[in-house]
Amino acid sequence: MKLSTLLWAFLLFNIVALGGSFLPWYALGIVAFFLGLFLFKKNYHAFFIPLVFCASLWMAYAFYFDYRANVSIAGIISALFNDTGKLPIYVITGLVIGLFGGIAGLSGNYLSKFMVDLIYKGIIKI
Amino acid sequence: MTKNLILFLITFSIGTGLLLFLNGNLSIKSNPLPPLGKFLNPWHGVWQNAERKLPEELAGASTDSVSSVLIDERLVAHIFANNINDALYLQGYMEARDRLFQMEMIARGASGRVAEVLGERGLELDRAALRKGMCLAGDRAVENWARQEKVMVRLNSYLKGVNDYIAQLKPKDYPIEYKLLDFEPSSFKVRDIASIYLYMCDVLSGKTTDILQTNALNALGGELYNELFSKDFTGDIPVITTPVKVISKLSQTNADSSVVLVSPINMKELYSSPDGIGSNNWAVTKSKSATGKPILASDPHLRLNLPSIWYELQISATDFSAYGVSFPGIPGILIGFNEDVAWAETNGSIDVADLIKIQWKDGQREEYLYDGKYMEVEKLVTEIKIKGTKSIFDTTHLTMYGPIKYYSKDLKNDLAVQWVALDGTTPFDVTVFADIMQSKNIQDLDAKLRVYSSPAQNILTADNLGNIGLRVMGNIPARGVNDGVFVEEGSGSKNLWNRYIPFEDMPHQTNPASDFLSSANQKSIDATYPYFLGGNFETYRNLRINRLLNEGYKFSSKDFKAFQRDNHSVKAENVVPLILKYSEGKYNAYDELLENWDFTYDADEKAAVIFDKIYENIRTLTYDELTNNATYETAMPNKRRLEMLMSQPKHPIFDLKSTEFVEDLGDIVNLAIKEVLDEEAGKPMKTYGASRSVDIPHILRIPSFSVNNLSLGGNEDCLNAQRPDWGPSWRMIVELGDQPQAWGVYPGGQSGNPASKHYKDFISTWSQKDYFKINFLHSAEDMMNEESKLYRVTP
Repeated sequence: MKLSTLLWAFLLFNIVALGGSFLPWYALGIVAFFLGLFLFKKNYHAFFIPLVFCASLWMAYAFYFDYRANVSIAGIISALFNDTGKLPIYVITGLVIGLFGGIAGLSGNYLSKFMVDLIYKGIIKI
Repeated sequence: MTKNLILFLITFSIGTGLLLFLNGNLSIKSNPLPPLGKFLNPWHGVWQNAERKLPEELAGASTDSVSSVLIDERLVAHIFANNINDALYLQGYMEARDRLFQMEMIARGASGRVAEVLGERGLELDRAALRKGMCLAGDRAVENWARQEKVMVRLNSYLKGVNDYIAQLKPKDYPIEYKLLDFEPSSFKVRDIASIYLYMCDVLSGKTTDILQTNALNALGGELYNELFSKDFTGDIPVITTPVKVISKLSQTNADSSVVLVSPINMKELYSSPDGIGSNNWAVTKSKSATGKPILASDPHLRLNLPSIWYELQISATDFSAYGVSFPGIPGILIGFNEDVAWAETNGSIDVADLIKIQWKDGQREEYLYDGKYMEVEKLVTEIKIKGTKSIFDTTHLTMYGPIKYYSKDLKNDLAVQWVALDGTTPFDVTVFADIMQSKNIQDLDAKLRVYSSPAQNILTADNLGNIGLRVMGNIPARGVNDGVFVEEGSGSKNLWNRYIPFEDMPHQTNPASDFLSSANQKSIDATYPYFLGGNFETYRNLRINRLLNEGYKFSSKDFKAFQRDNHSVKAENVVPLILKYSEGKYNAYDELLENWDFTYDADEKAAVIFDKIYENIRTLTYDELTNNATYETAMPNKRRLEMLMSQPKHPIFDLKSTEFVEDLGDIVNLAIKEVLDEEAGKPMKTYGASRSVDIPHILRIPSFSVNNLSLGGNEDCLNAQRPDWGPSWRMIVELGDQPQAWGVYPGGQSGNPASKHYKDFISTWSQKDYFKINFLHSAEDMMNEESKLYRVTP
């Protein structure tokens, strides 16, 4: 994979994350879907890159908001989930969006391949 | 090609499913999780509930004239406005800011709307609200206030404050609980205030024991019932100790009106709260005060919850400045003080709710017998919305007395409830505490109480002029002896209340010769009072506080703090010697423990645990006529009655019905001790604090938002009437003077946000039985420091 592809993905995910206050929670997943559709060539790239980027972004922002707090909100959330500890709470936060982003990216990538098949077989003409 | 299409469709479906699940659109039964996508989203979800520094402005707030709010280091709001309506507006705004979810859930709970947000888990609560008549009473209260302009102006000012706060909220700002349950805050209406008011009425005056009393009467027969359930006890001291000059005589109709149902009822009394509650208040005149001015102590006991039931604040306008606690959702300060007066309430514990048996014409619940005629029952159909499933429609059958509270399978024991809170016609003012907080002296305050309705309370007052006063306030039906104690027949109009005790005739007293006044949920007044006041009254704490106040001479706030912490039990003091007399030293370990006990329920005390167990066994064995009644649940005589019976060791009540012998008190005591010995054999002896820990649960019973297993002393028969789930809810002591000095504490914190450092920051001080010195400010600029924040609110 080209470094520029990774940089594009990184840039796009970050732009959307910066607009997190105005966008719905699943916005990163929509970005992942389109990246899978237009940018990534391989399935595992389309799944793992959005998974890692989305998860990292949510975890980083969650950590930032928790860091600024008077009382650790991660501790409060952890207590809600049977005192799993703060780290698992960050991981769960990341996994929620990471899995959704990964699946969305993969789905976009399969759609891309299906479209290529249609073009190759002449069903869609460009 | 097909393979890629199939894989696309599969992954797209999984992605869509995941999106819907994480967004909360797919409801899975018994899934306790919130919609995780929304909930864990760092920009909108729970991470945004992390508490940071106070905001720079009170967003969305605007008053008619420039006002100020200072938030101090304990998050107490000090409101300084130029008129009462601006002050109430800011009270509404600040209460919504700190307690929005609590206010909404109490309003929902009292109006049958909990299932709408909790799903089927809330259904029983909603049904209970309907059965108890709270929904109907709420509607009637709104109609009542709508006819009073002054009330509506104040309510609308308060509501505007609440709603201006709600309107500026973004989803990220919603309290955690809204995000957990995935719903949005509703704007507040007058109907919500009515619901919160009704919640208060229900907790403090909605209880009925009529079924239990009826069954006890049936089990014991009239003579024994009257002896065991008499409310006269040797040395008892009522709330009001001087006779009241009654202006309006009790009419003959009231004097002997009750028509009692004589057959037992096989139903459980529902929705009960404990007897006696545990509240205390007292005040001394300048003669008994070390400061030369009256000192007042307030210690209401209520069910412990987080967020706490009280919200601490100062409300000032041009001509008054008051400090104390409000009940979020009700305008004004319920317990507090201003520069001239201090006031505090305890529950009157007076019976203001009756159960009436309805006689249906046939098996249809269409018409019921009333005064020789069949009257059509009014049917009120209410939709109960249930989250995640279809609504259900519940029918309330409304009779002349009130709604049917208990439905029986065969329709023969359908019981309607007649409750003062259901009265929508007598005008009353829910904003009365906004008037009280502006009082200039106790007479001025007393005059404002005429429009107070419910729940019946003992209001204690003290002023800077040196006066102290105590009044039973609230609407209480004018009744004859034992009227309303038992389930009554509803086929005639005799059991329909026709008037309340006039304000002038209500028990009240000022500046007694003893130089002190006190109340502790005991009976209001002695038997010379011409109106019958039934109820479940406390009988030990009043003895203790009267003894302490009689013994002392010049009291200071320090003494009063010690009284509020007092774990001494008069019950134990009186009963332990009798137990020791009959145990005759046969039970070494227990005898020694009890002999050396100073009758205090301290957390590290072991004798208190053993005494409680022995006492409960004696009580159960003595009243085997009632406790062994497997068919019907019955009321139990007051605890003090047992102590009095113990002075008659050969009383037939001590004979066990299940044996062929004739037992006396000595046999019962020995049997009770042996049972405890058997039960405790081989177990390590626990301390009192360990055997009865105290929990302060979150309003939704979320364990991680609760504080559990506190090891505290205290007992329902002590002034520190701590129970596992009830306890001192606002301890306040006020030394009146040119500049009042006051101390206060409640179990919780100002913020309703579990992620705030102010959510439970008072609990450690409270559980150590300590206090905060109250910052009673002259102006908002009085206490500017690093931890406080001043806001200006402009038009």
